[in-house]
Amino acid sequence: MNGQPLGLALVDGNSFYCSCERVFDGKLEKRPVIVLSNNDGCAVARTSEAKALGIRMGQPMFQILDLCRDNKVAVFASNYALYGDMSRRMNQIYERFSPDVEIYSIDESFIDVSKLALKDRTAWASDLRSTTRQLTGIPTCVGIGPTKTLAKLANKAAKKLPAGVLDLSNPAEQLRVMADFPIGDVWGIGQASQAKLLAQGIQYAGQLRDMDPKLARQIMTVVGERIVHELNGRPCIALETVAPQRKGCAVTRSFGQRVTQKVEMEQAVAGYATRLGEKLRRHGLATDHVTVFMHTSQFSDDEPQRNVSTTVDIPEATNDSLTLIKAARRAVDRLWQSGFRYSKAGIITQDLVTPPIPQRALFDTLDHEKAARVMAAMDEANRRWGRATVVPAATMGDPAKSQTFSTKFEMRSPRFTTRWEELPEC
Amino acid sequence: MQIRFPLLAVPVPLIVLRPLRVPMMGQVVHAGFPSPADDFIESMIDLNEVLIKNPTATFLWRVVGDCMVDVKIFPGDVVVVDRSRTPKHRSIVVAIIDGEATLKRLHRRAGRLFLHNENAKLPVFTVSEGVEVSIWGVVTATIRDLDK
Repeated sequence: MNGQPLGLALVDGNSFYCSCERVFDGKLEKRPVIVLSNNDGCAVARTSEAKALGIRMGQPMFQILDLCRDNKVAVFASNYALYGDMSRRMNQIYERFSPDVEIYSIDESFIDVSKLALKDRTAWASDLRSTTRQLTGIPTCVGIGPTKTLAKLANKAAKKLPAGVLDLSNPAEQLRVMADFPIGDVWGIGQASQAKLLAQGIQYAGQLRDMDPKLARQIMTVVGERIVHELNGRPCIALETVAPQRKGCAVTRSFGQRVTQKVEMEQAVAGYATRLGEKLRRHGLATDHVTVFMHTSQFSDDEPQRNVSTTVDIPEATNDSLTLIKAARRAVDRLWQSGFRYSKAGIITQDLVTPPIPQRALFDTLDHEKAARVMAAMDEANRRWGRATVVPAATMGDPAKSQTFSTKFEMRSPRFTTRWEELPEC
Repeated sequence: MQIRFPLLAVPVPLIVLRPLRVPMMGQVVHAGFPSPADDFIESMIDLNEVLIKNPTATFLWRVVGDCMVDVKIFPGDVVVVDRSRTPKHRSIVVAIIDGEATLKRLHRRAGRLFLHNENAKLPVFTVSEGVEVSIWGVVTATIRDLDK
């Protein structure tokens, strides 16, 4: 995104994974639906009906077995191939509405709306929302604000509105909504920061906005200071500074020059995979799959168009850059086709997990720098002597894993949009 | 100048996300001389161009029912369904009736919408009072393997 945009929209899918399941199964429309993480069987997406039953985000399935049976809750394992394909379609629609789309996660994208007149923004967002619903079946909400933090906040508040759209371009509106917006829901405020702020008597976003930035820095480091600036409408948060959420993160770039050669694409995507590995390692997270997408520019009407994505599974959750690169390369192999001028590519993961215990102990007891050195040494050894020469103990064969692996696929819905054998039936 | 065509098109697995490209004029293997057809190597027929007008909104469904056999949509066929099309009078649609996805012919009479089977052997299709009906998308094409 160029410079400091004066208006940003954050659009996200409502209960995104659950909504994807509902698109292809009309019987789910009235039932509560939840989707579980594949690695540890925790609820990672819930429809409003499931939330109303008291099912919490991240709650393990074993705690809610009876509740789900008694209330006929439809329970699914994560279907990354389906969610990745639906996400690709949604972002393609967003790019028709504005060329500047930044994919933040599998179901969240920032869209630059600076060029839109203030009075047109709400109507624009409603149009985006209804078009997305019509073409993909996925319901969304749109929040607009002068900074990413305010756009996130507007999006969160929009979830409670029937229109599903909230424009906080206007400072008076910002004040009104922030007055009773809990700080725990502000983007970037984790549980630790929340506790510290509550101890200072700061409960609502409005109070945090009025806090002295220097004090915010004392309490919550430079991240807190930036949040205060952002709440005041001064953009200063780069995406990179915000920890990837459990639900996933993305590394995507528009190419400076169109990519026409496979080797260039491989290099670019390997670069994103490396960056993704760094991000995951920095936050002690891991993933068991990557979704890679690439597309041409929709604004070059005279050129052949192509927009594709694919998801590659990794047998064990990892944050090892080399494994991620290998998976990303395989994705490029599947997707690549010459004769197109690609303008953008990226890599997305969903459902991040904390790596298995031995590795977590390593990262918990060492500081980040040391952990990075271990990883770097490992990467170097692997580069020199071949892949998997040195691997974290946790990624070696785990006998318990084969069992989780089989249960993994029992509850997964068909890959409706990416497999001939699994098309929906009519 | 003689342009030679390959005798057999190379079988290409059809994956919907990957535009299928059938070579129209392919590279002919010559010993030692460049093929005059090389200049035409970019000329490809893309089946997606014919079958899929709006890729973002297009989904494939597998037919299992026999309600459309009179218009030659048979069980086992794949139908191309475009959600960006507005259903009109006589559109064939994927309709969701009481949560079940089914193929129907849409009729518009006196401002009201009706759904019909296209199978003379089936009883006339009616929707009971209170049953929810919605149109999922408009069927734009069928795909059938004639040499299975």
